[in-house]
Amino acid sequence: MLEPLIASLRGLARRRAIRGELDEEMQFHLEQQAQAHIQRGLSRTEAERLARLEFGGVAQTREAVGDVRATWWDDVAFDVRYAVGAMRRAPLWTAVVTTTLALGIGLSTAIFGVVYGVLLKPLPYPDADRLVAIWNSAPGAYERFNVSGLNWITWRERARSFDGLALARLIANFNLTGGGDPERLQGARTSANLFSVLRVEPLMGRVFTDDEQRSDAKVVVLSYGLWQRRFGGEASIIGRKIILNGAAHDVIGVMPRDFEYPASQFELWTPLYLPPSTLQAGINNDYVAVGRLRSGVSVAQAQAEMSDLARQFAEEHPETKRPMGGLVDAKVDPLLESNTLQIRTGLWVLLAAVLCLSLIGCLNLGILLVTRANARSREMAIRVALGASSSRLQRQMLAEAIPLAIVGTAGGVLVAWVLLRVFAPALPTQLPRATQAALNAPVLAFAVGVSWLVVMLAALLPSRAAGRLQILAATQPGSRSITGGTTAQRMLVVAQVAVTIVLLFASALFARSLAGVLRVDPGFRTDDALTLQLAVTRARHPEDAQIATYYARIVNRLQGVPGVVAAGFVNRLPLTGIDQVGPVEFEGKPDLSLVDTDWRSATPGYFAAAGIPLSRGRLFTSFDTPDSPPVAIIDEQLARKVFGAQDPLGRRVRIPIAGQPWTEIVGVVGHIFNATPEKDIRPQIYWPESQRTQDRAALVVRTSGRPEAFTSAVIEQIRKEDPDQPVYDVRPFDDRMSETLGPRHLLTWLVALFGGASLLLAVLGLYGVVSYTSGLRMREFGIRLALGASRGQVRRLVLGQAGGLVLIGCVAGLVCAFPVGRALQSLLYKVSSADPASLLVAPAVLVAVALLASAAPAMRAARTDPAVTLRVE
Amino acid sequence: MPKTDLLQGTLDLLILKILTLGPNHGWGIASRMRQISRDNLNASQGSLYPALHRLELRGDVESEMTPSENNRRARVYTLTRAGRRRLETENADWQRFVLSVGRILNAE
Repeated sequence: MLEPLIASLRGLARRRAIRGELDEEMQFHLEQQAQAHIQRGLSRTEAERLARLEFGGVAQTREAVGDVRATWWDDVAFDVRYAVGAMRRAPLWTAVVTTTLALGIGLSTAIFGVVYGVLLKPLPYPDADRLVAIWNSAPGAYERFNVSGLNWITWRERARSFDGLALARLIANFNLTGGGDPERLQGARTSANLFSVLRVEPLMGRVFTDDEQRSDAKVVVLSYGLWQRRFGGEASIIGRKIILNGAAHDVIGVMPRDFEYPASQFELWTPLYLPPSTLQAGINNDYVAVGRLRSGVSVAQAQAEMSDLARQFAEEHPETKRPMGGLVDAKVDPLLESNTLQIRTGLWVLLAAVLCLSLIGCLNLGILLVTRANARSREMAIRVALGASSSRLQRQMLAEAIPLAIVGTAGGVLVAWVLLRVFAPALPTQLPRATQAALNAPVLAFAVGVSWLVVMLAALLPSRAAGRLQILAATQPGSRSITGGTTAQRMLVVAQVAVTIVLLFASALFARSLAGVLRVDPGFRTDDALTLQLAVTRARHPEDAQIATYYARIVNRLQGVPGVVAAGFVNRLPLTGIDQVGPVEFEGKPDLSLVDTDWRSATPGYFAAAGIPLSRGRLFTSFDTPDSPPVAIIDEQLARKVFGAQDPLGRRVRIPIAGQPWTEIVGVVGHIFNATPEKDIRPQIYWPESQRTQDRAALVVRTSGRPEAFTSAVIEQIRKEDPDQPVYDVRPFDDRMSETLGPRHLLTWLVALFGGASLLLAVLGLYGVVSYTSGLRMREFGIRLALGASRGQVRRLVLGQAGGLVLIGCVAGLVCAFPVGRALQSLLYKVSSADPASLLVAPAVLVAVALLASAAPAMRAARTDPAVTLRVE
Repeated sequence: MPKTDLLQGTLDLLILKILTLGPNHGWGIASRMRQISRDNLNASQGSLYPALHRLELRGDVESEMTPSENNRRARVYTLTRAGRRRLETENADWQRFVLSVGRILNAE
C-alpha cells in the first residue's frame, strides 16, 4: 500500500533530472549512429539525417518515456490544478461551499469535543475502565439510590467481584478558619481504601489509614489546588494543623494536581467515620460506593453478584423493603458512565443532530459537484470516447474534491477551536469535566475523518451517477436530455429534505417540551429573592438549641435591613440537586405503607421568603421550641394522598425509626417541585428547625428590588453574628432556575439552530436544482407558450416539479421521524414521541420555505420569451 | 494475447539478453541487437528507450550516467539479479511458445 506511494513520490523527484538526462542520452545515441554512418562513407548531413530517421521521433520518445515514468500522482496533481482553476473561476460558489463545509465540520467537531471531554475521555486513574459505581436500587421507583454504611460493610465482606470497595460521603462541608478569610470548602469523607481503589498515590505525605477511619482521627488530605491557593504550595504544610469546622486537623498529605475525586470542586478528603448507631438497614443511605473490578470480572458479572447480595441483604434486614418502594436490588455502572447519566442522551442527540446537519451540507456539495459535472458532460463523454477509463473519471471527481476537503478541514478546525474557546466555559454546570473539552488528538482525528468522509462521499455520489448516465445523452449534439445527471441531483435533494424534516421534527418536539417546562408552576417564587448556603461550625454551637437560636438571631438581624421583605432558613434549598429523602408514617393509617417524602427543616420565615403559600392551619412560630409539643407541616399533595377530603390538622405523623416522636400536623402548605420543574418527584413534609436541627442550611431572603443589590448587606449581617461564618453559593433564586433549565435550553436551542441551518441548506440545494433543470427546459417552455400555454401553467410546471421533490422528501422524512421520536422520548416533557403538532409543523415549515425558494425560478420560466429561446441554436 | 504486448514483451526479453553480455548504453544495445539479428529486427531505435525506462522502474536493470566517448555522458544500463531471473523464466516461456507455435504450424 505504502510502497507504490513512496516509489511514485521518489519517481516524482527524479523525473525532472531524468528528463534532462534523457535528452542527453538521445543526443549521444544520434551522434554515435551518425558517426557509424560517416565511417561507412556517408556525408555528415546525410549520416545525421539517416540516424534521425532510424531513431524515429525524438519528441515521441520523450513522451513515451514520460508515460512510462508517469504515476497516478501526476493525474491527481493535474486534476487538483484543474479543480483549483475551476474554483477560482467561480469564487462565490466556492465560498458558499467551503463555508458550509467549514461550519458543518467546525460545529460537529466542537460538539464532539464536548462529547469526548465529558463522556468518553478516560478518567485519570490507572486502569480506569475497571472502576465501577455501585448503587442500591428500588426496581420501578429508584433506579439508583445511595448506599448505607451497613450495605458497604456487608458487601465488602461478601462480594467477590472486586479488588477493593470504597465508600464516600460527598456531601460534606468544611469551614476553614484561621489564617485568612473564613472559607467554606467542599470536601469528601471517604473510606481509607478509596485511594488504593483508585490507585492514586499522594504527591506528598500520606493518605489516611483504616485505623484513622475507625477512630475518627482528625487528619486531612488536601488537593493540589487548595494547597497552592491557600497555603502557597509550601512543603512544610505536611504536619501542620488547620482548623476545619472549629476542630484542629493534621495535614497528612497533598494529592497530585490531576486528582479530582469525585469532581474538580472537591478540595479535601477526611476519614469517613461511621458511628455504630448509624449502621442500621433502611436508613442513612447517604453514601456512594466505588469499586475496582477484579481482573477478568466483567461489569455484567459484578452486576449479577451485587443483585444477589442486595436481595440477600434485604432478606436479612426486612426494614430495607419498606422505604423508597423497597431497596431490594443493586446497580453496577462503569464509574465514567455513572457521572454522566443525566446528560448522556442529550449530548448524543446533539452530536447526531449536528452530524445530520453536516450530512445535508455534504449532500449540497454533492448537488453542486453534479451540476458542475453536468456542465462538463460533453468533455467527459469525449474523454471516455477517447479511452479514459471510468475509474480515471471517478478519480478526477475525487481529486477535484481534495482542495475542498483541505480548505474545509482547516476552516472547520479553526471554527471548532473558536467555539470551544468561547463557549466551553458557558456550558451548563451539570456537564462534568466540560472544561476538558478541547482540541486534543482524538477530537482532531474526528474533524479530519469527518471532513474527508463528507467530501469523498459528496464527490463519489455524483461521479458514479454522472459518469455513467450522461455519456450517451451528452454526445448527441444539441441534446436537451434533462434526465441523466439531474436524476442524481433530485435524489440528493429528496435526501436533504428528508433529513431536514427529521431535524425540524426533533426541534419541534424539544421546543414544545421546553414551552411545557416553562409553563410549569414550581410552587415557589424565584423572582426577587436572594439565596445562599452555609454550614454551622458545630464546635461553636454544640447543642441543637444553640443552632436554632443562632439561625433565629440572623433572621432577626436581616429583618432589620431596609428592603428585606422576609427571610428564613431551610436545610435543603429547592433546585440545588441536594435531597433529603425519607419515609414517614401516619397515626391511624396502618393500611397505608410508608410514604417517601422530602424531609425539610425550616424556620418560620422560610415559607414567606420562598413564596410557598399556606393553605390551612398555621406556619411555624417562635413558640415552636425544643421544649414545646413537636409539630409538622405537610404539603397539599401529601394531605390529599393520605387524608383525602378529611382534615389533616391535628393528626399525627412520625419518622418510622424507633424513638422518633409522633408530631402533630399544624399546617398545610402548597406543594413544590423541589428538584426541577420537569419532575414532580414526591411530596414534602416540614419540621421546625428548632425541633429537628440541621447543621447545613440555606437562607432565602425575599427583597423588594434587585436581589443582587442585597448581597453585601446580607453577608454583613451574618458576619456581625459570627465573623467566622463562611457563606457560599450566594445567588439570586432566579439564577438557580436558569441553571436547572440550562441543559434543556441548550439542547432545544442547539437542535433548533441545527434544524434551521439544515432548512437553509436544503432549500439552497432545492433552489439550485430547480433553477438548473428549469434552465434546461427553457426551450420546452418556449414551445409550450408558443402553442398557447398560459404563463400560469408554465409557472405551475416548475412549482410542480419542486413540489414533487419536496413531497417525496417529506414522506421519507416523516417515516424516519417515528423511530427518531421514540429514541428521543426520554428527553421530552409531556410531549408524545409522535406528537401530531410536531409532525405537522415540520413539513409545513419546509413546504412553505421551499415554495418561496422555487418562486424565483418559476417566475423566470413563466417570463420565457418563445421568440428568443426558440431562436437559440 | 494482444499483439502490442507480445512485441513489447519480446523487446524487453531481447534487451535483457543483450545486457547479459555486459553493461551497455542505449545506442550500444541498439547496434548490438541489429548486429546479432543481422539487420532483420529493424524497429525504430527510439522505441528502445521507453522499454529501458520501464525495465528500470520494474527493477530489472539499473542505470547510471557515465562519461563516454567524445566528451559526452551516456546512460549505461546494467542487468540486476532480478532482471537475470526474469530473463531465465521469460526465456523458457518464449521457447515453449515458439515450440508450440512451431508444432501447430508444422502439423499436417
